[in-house]
Amino acid sequence: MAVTLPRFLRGGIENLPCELQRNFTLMRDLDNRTEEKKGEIDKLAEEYISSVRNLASEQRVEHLQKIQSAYSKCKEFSDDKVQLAMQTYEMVDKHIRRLDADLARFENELKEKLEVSGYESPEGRGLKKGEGQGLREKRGPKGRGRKSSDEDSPRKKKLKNSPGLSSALLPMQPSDVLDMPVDPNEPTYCLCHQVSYGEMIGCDNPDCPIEWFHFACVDLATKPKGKWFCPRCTQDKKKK
Amino acid sequence: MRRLRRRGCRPGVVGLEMGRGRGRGRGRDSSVQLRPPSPYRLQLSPSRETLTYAQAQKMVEVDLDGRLHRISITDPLPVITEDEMMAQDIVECNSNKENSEQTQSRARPGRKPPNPKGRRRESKTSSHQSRRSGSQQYTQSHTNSSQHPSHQSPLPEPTFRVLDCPCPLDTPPLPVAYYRFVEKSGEEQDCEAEYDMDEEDLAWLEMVNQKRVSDGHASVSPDTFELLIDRLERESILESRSQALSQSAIDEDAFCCVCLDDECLNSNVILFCDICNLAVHQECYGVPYIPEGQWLCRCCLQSPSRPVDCVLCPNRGGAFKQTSDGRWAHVVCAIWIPEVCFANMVFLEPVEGVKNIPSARWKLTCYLCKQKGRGASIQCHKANCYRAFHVSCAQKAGLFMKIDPVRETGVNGTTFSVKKTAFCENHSPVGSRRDGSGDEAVEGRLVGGRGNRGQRSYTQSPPAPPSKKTPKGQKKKKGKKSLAGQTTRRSAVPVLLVPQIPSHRLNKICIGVAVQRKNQFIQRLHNYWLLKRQSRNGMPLIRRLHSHLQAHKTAEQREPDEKLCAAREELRYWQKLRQDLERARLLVELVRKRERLKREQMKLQQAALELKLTPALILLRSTLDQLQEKDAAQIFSQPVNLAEVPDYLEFISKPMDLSSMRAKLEAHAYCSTTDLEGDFNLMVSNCLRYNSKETAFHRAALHLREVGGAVLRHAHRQAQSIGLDPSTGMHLPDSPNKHGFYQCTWEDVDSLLDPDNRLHLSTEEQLKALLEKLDMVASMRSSGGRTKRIRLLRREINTVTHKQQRSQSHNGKEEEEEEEENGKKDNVENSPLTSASTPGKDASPPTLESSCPASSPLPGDAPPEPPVLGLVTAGRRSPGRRSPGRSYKRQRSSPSGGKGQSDDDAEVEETATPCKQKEDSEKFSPSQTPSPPTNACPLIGVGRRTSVLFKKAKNGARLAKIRAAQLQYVGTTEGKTNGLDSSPTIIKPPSETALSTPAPPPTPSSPSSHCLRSRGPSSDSEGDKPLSLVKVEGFTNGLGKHKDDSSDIASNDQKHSVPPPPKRSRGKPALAKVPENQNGGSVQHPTSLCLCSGGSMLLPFDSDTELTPLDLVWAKCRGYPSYPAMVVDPDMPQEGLLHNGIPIPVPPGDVLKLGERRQKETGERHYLVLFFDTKRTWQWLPRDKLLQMGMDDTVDKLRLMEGKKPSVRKSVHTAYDRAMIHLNHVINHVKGNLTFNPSNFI
Repeated sequence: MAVTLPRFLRGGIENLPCELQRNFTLMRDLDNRTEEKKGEIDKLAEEYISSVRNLASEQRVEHLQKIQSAYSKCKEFSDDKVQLAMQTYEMVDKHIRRLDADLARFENELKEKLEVSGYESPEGRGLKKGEGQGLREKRGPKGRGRKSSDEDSPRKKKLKNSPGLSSALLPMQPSDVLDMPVDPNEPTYCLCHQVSYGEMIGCDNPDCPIEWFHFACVDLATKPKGKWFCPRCTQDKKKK
Repeated sequence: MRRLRRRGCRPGVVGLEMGRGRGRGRGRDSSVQLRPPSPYRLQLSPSRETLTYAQAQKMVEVDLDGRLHRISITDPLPVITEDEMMAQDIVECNSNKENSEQTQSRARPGRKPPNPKGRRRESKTSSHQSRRSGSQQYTQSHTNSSQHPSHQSPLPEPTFRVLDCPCPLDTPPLPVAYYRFVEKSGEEQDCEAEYDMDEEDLAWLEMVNQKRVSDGHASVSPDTFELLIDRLERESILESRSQALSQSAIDEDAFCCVCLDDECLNSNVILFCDICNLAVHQECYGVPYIPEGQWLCRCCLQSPSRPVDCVLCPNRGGAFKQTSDGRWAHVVCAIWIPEVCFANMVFLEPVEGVKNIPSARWKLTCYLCKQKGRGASIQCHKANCYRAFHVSCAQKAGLFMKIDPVRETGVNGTTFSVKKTAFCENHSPVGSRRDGSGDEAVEGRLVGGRGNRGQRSYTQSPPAPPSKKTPKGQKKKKGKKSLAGQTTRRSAVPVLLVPQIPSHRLNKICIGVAVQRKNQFIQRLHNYWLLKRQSRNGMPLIRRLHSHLQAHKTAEQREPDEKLCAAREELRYWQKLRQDLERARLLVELVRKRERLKREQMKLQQAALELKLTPALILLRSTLDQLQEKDAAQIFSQPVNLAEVPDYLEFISKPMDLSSMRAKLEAHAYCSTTDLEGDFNLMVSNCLRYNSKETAFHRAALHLREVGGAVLRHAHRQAQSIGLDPSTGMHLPDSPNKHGFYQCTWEDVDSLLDPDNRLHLSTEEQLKALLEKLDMVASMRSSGGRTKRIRLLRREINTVTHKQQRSQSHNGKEEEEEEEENGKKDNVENSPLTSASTPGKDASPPTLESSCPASSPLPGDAPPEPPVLGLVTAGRRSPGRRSPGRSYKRQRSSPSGGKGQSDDDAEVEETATPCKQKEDSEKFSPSQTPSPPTNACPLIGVGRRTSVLFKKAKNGARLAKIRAAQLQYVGTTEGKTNGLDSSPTIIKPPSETALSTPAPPPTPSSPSSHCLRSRGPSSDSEGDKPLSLVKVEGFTNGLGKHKDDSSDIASNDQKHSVPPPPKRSRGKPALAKVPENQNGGSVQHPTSLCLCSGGSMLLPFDSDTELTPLDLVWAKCRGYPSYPAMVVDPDMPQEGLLHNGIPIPVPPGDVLKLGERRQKETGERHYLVLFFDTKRTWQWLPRDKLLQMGMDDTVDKLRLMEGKKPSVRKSVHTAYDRAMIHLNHVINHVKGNLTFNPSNFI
């Protein structure tokens, strides 16, 4: 009967912080290396500028190639970083999705449990006797009465409580997610530069600067079939 | 609320009580007035009989102790104090001669502060005076005596003394606003001791301290005491809380054992005895107020040690009340047995009237328990049914017992305000015997009728009374008043009332306290505390904690299921986790975005650095890209494949192409745009040299030269404006003329447009300046002024070009003589291209000549060549698309070398034509006539190139002149000699003749056996070579020097085209005209600045050449791909026409009409075409929809591939085949008729 969420989640949410940490460290590492390379490039460029007059064309080419290769290294690092960030995102996202699913399951089970326990609790007994309605009515005020005359010993009165357990428990849940405080740094998307909400659609152009769009902002009601490109990317494509 | 309700429920009871109270005579004022007891006057009181009426009215009779006292109402009634009364009593008693012992015994309780319980009992019992024992009577008399007014004692004197303590009222009361109550939080309250000592505690502590002091220990301060008690309280609360949790479930399934109902109303809750767990309704047991602390039923409270038995029934268990004589009876029994009632209807005690039960009732035998003489039974209410049963037995058996509230019966103050009916088993109403819900539904409230409940609540006591209370540790008892179980019962009480505190907790409590001999003291204190709690019925000493506990309990009771609670907690936890994850995701998303931005930044940075380090390179690169774009056919993109054209290097020493240029560029071989331009020109000139003029490659090269020239000029200007350092390829420290680039005013342009303003310049410079201005103007925003100026500029450029050409031709003439000896040496000198190219030129012609020995100036020379070309063309097919370039180049090479002479007269002609054309054109004449005839030194490649050709061509020109008996040469010489004054009129006629006359000869020759594709080359190779060359040169010049003459040429061509058909009615003007048309078309082009005539064959829709009837064309109808068609002269004779013996269909009348209408509508000329489709449909199409067929194989192929659908392509194919057949027929006919040029078909 006792439902435990950990059962669902034992899969690795514990590792998440570690993995995040690792990824971020890696990213930072790459960042450092990129910065180093950049410094190198700057040096090379300066060198080139100062000595270009005396260089033969082959030397120039060589020199420029050095810069070029440094840049390509930088680009590699950048690509790695982006890749890493995307991986990290996927990871967190995966966990969130799993947690969502598990939470939904958990809530369902909890609801069921509430119903079950409702039958086992005092008024459940009353219900079993078959006079649900009348008894319930009689019991309602009783609970209140006890509260008002509160100075008696624990076992003074018949303790028949009819607090709506489920009603007390359940309303809290949906509001919880909504009540999350708004993060001022929350990334914005779409042509409207708003935070994400509702259904979003991703542009299939991997280099799209915006990436995600609200359905409403791109005049969509349902997910389109096949590839979808955002208005900007479509425009750019046409130009090309 | 509760009270009101209760009163409302039982008004009769209240009334009864009132009556009783009066009857008892406890209220002094009422009773005193009625019969004030005045014992000392008793003797004086006269007998009633002796009194008069008036006297009787003034007398009050008091019947006291069997004697009648009469008191006059006028007598003052003295107030007597208790002591006086006491004394009086004694006196009275003595005077009454009663026993002095009694007096003493009676006096003792009087002095003591009366025990409330004892008092209550006495007062309860006082109403039953008759049955009192002696001692009780004393009490009675005592109470009564208190009412005696003591006349003898005086009123008590009030005594007081003044205390000299300072008055607390010294300070004026503060305004309310100064007082504020700040409630302490739970934590704060937990920290301090809330308990306050009372006197008992003080006394105890004093005692303990005395002992401790005597033992030599420090005394314990009251604070410590309070603190410890407080802690103990707290612990006990915690303890009881945990106990309560385990106990709470027990109580749930309870019902009142009086009414057997589990209904539980707010005002009428079910109470549980804290010891025996008896469950009763408040009303059923007479508990109007729920007491604080524990609640015990009467028997647990008053007879805790022994189980009680009901006097009225043999059953044990259930709710008991004491009878007025100290025995016990069930509440139910008291209710049901008619003679018995409750003295107090609110508290439902004590049970009265047991004595009144008739003996008959005692003797009834309960048919349920079969016991006789034990308790009183009731009988079935059914008439004639005498079955008797004990009430509790009936309840146990679930008989029908019903109480109907009947209030009106209670007028006389009896207890029976309800109507009770009980039936035996046999007479129970239907449904009631099943102790189910049925009876309740039918009859409302029932007492009994629930057998199982009844059974549970009672046990049979007398024979073997296994009491219900045994679980509580009771012993069985045989006698009614056995004392055996006393001790056990008692021990059970505290355990239940006061939660035990485990010793380890106890130790924990005293940790923070510094007391000598701690353990001992704590032990004592604990015991004391336990006793104190017991003495208070287990009531907690600190109230707040208790209520606190209650609150806690209610909260906990909300969620009795601990698991559920835990699950909720867990859920909350996970939801929190979910939020955290969401936040993490947000963060990672931001990281991702940032990294992407960084990557973009990196790319930008790279680009920026590149721009910084190698701006020249980038400029050049973009320029090269643009050049490459212009080379749409990709002729120049790759190096010439030497395997395909092995002799290429013989002519071209320094091959160049765009890819190698790019390689050089990347290798930083170019420092400036001029370097690039040099290579570009080399490339073009190579092409021009190697390929014959008629080839597509030649044209493409020319075109590229034009277009590329513009691109390079632009790049050059850019480089200048940017300020590039040629040595480093980087920016100059300060950019020179930021604003110079493309900044010019109309004034500049206008001033330049005025020929006088540039007189000081050479033609080349003028041209350059004009071109620059044109570029600038073209780059400006479009406006009326702009278009106008562009037109003017073009015209000007044209004139300058022509001037230049003329001067060139002049030069050519001058050099002619030397040329005759030098041959190609001229090329070297005159080549505008890099000097490097000249050697190649030098080399190439000879080799070609060697291969083609016929370098004679005679037109007959031409014939040997065609076979070669034919071969070449055949070979060129095979390599596919790119190979054509090479092969053409090769073809080009042959004419350039071998046909130098024919080139010559072409040049002559060409120089003539523009002039003539200029003259021809009416529109432009004004502007053209003043064109400065200054001899321009050939600076521009184009000019030089032509001049070279011109030099070479002079022989040919001569020959052509001779052969064709033309005046061209004269014309040219004239033009040359005349220089500036060369009159157009003179030139014009020759050129016309030149154009028209040479045409006929080539035409027959060109229709070689080959299909159309070889036409171009073949025409080259034939005798009409001069003409075609002329044309080409003409147009190249036109391109180079540009503009203006376009339309006139077109009109010229029109003129030309018109004559041929009549001229050679069965000739093939189409073929002859091809070059001409192209010429015209290409010349037209410059107007649009899109100088693509050279590439016209390659560019799909560009060919604007004039079309002559019977030409084969690609016609493009909207919605269809280009389709093979034949241009038909709409004015052809209606009777039909034979074209080389092939009949040409006659256009129907309606088609002609349609054409006229359409031409009128659009205002432009439409051609009538006849498609080669199966139906041979007609169509009128404007020129731009028509493209000469057979100009270039690739073009034709492209057309053939144009259709998107296979079926369409197939139909185009068949049409094309049909067209070819038609062409072949025509040509064959020609061949058959005219053995004009047999050499063609060798």
